[in-house]
Amino acid sequence: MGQDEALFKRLRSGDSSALDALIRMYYPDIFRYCMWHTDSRQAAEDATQEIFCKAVQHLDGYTHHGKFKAYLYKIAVTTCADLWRCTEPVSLPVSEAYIEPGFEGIESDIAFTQMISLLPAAQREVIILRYVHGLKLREIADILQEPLRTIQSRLRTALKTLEHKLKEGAF
Amino acid sequence: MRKDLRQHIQKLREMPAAEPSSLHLAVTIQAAHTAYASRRKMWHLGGFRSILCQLRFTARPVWLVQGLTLLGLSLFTLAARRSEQFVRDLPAFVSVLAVLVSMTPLLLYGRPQTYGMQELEATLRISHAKQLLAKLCAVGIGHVVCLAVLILLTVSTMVQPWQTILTFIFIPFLLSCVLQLFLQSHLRQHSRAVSAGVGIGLGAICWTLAGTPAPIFPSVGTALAICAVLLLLLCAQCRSLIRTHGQKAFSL
Repeated sequence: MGQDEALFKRLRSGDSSALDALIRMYYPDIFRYCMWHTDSRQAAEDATQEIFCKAVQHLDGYTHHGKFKAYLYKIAVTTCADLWRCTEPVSLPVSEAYIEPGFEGIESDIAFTQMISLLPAAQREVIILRYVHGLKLREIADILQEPLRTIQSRLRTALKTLEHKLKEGAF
Repeated sequence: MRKDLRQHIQKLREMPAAEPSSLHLAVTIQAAHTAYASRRKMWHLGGFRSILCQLRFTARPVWLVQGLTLLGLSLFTLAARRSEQFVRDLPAFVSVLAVLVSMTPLLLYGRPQTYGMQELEATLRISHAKQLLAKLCAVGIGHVVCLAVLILLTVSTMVQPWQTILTFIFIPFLLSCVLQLFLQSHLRQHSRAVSAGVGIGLGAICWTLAGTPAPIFPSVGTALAICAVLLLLLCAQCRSLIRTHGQKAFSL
């Protein structure tokens, strides 16, 4: 958080190289988020670029309270939701993630990822932000602009659904 | 949570994601720089500027309609000035125009809600009451100009104009203003339509009363007294509107 603050200070004083550092810092997380919400690498890259451009365009209106990551995720959620609306529903990008050597045989994990993709959108979003991106529930509530209780309840429901499917031996 | 579910969930975090491309990262940085350079910069909204913005947003349409009314009046007067009937019908004509002028703020009602200006108004340091007062004053300036033109027209056309001015300009105008403000502060829904209906009705009554062959003129003293009472009522209406709604996020 301290690093963010220093970068923002530099940016406000007119040092545009701070913008590079900010983008470099958050690019992998946002790209990963986009990979989970789009059907191809190309679409994910486009979405990532759009997210950063949107974030930067409205940077004057953003007041830094150490929540730049949440600010970026908030934009990412709306951008990906727009993309999702415009295109056919996509299955989660298991194939690309498992191109890495050593992961070819993990069929159960692939099936589990596909199981997540079958969850309702709101629950899937909570699962992805919580377990893929490791965000806290309070941060997720902030990003999705929902009450904390709602997020807790969605997470609980999603986990119950997954548990039920595992018990059933869905894969 | 079941053990196998926990294991799967833990793997989600460790799941290797596709490596971000450094080429695309460079492209993104470049695009971000362009976006940052072309962003709409924020500017400080001071007191004077905010009042100017409010005037432009609130009073301009009303002033425009009032200006158009005056233009129509001027053209009509130029065309009909020489006819004898014009002088005879002038009281009816000016009384209807006075009501029409008092109805011009109807355009203003509900404008902030329509254009989402309430949020901006709420963020200003100026209180709602002061904003409301400023709007009423801005509209009032237009009214004064219109009434001055009507008075000048009456003075230049009629031999004994003051009774006509008091009876057929001030009384209909003030009465209409009082009714409009009363309706605005008491009706929540359809206030604009009801106000317009009341204004049209009042205009028709004025036309009928002033258009009779021998219109009834109260004495100057009586007319002045009626005007004074109506003016007091108008001030009371403005005050009540500002006090009741000025505290809330109500916008004219």
